[in-house]
Amino acid sequence: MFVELENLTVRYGRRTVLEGMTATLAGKCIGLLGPNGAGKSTLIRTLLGFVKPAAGRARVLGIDVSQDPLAIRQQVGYMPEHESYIHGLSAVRQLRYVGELSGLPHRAAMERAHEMLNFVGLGEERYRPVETLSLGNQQRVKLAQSLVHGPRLLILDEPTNALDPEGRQEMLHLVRDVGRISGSHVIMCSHILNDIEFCCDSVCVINKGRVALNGVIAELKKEDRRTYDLRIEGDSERFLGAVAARGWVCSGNDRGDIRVQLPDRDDARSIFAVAREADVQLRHFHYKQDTLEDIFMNALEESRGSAANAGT
Amino acid sequence: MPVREIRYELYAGELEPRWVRFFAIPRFSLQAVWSKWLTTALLGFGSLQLVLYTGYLYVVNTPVLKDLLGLGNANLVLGTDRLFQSFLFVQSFIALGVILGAGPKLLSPELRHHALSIIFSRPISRATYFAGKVVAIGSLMTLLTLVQTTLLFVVMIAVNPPGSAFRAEFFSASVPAYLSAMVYAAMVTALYGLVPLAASAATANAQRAAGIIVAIIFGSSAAGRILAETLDIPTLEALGIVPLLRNAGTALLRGTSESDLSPAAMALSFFAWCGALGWFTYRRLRPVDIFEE
Repeated sequence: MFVELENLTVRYGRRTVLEGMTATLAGKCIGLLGPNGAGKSTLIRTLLGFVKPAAGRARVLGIDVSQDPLAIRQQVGYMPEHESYIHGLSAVRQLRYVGELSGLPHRAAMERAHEMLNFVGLGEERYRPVETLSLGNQQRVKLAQSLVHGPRLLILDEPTNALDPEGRQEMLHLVRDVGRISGSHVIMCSHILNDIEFCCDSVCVINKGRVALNGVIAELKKEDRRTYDLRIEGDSERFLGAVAARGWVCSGNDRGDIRVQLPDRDDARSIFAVAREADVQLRHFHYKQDTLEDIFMNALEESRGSAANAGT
Repeated sequence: MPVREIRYELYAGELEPRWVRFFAIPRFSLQAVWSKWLTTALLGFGSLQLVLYTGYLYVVNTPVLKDLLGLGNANLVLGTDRLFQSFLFVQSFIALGVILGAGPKLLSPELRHHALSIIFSRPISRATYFAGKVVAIGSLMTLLTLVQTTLLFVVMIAVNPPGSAFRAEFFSASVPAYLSAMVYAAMVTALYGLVPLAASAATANAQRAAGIIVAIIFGSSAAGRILAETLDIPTLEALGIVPLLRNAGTALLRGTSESDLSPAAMALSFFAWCGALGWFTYRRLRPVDIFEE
């Protein structure tokens, strides 16, 4: 585990943003999810030592954020969500600057700057002032600057923000490579669930300043062995009619995808029997598996439910 | 064709101690400022006065040149204290031009483009970053004031002949005048360094920051004068930065004050200004996203 939260409470003035948050974040790459205002950015700021907890404890890579925030920032790379660059400096000079601020000697900082810009795929544009680069290339520079000092933990806040589909794919591959190739851990904060699913092996859902769900994505994707996703070839009307006659709950879409929920008295073999009866071929047959969206929405609903119960 | 895989690797080299990292802040800040042609021109212009004073001192101490220029036996020698005073008076105006050109660029663009988020995600404290910025603008001001004053003193030593009043009263008058000039130059450096720092920390708009610099320097002077006259308390004039520096210079170098400002009032005003401007700047140095909370 690289982050431990123990009853963490953070306040801005009188407003409580994180309340009694307890969790351990483990794995190579963890996705931080939550609706707007859930407290994701505040959690990131707390982990970086920008904000002091009002109560409880947060430890990053074994270091308490209240005790030694500078030691944490030595080992953490941060890619902010919004535009963030030093006006007038070229990409390579900016990376050299932040590298030197992180303690790299002049020459090593320059070498690392070029290596990281090569890694993110920035060519000759690296010699241009960052403000003249395209948004996509600015995102690459932001990622490169977060990596220049070789952090053990990388915190990425909306890394695919403002990127076109191609740029987004490239950014996601870079993030995944960092998590898989190096010994670094990654915390990726995003609203785009597909991005999280592509890069991360674990997920932490935050809602209203509390951890609503925390776990490995593969384990959270539960299989529902009473519900099946089917695709058929043949007369779908006849098949749906046969299904309805048996009293099964069924839904379909225009593409021919059908979801069938079986009652306890029937099993999977009944579906084949109905297909034979309706004279259609089954081209796809699989248990329904939760998507990350299902996991996220369920976690939010449960969190709201428990909050409502606590309120009453 | 050779193929090389570009992959990310952790940094395994040595790290510099914290005090070495600190110097990256003024170095990169100065590089950003130095590229501005106006600042470069004003710094060049700031050295012009030294050249003129060198020529003047050389002429007044060389009888042959005086004869050639038809100045005859005219006594053109100014006292060391008066020389320093007039020199630093003009230098402080040039310094004002430099801070108007370079000062707004110190922090405003970093606030505008949220650069503090990436800077403070490094192992750098607010105090260190603040000190780095103070060193950056302070070194610019030092070039114009303390360094130029020292160079002028060296020129005086070089061109004044052994029998001159400057040499005769070297330890009793010349050196104390130089030390007083250095104190005055340090006051100009401190105030004219902190004003642009605070102004650029106040707004993300560089042009507005320049306006704030003018407002602080001349607005405080006007306000101090009005308060002093309205309330009939002359000491209140020390609230203004321009009268404070002018009177401090006169008091330090000539032993008199142009108005009725007491040394205590001037010292109090100076330290109050430095403290307030420094505290304000320090408070504003935060990652900008936290600022917006």
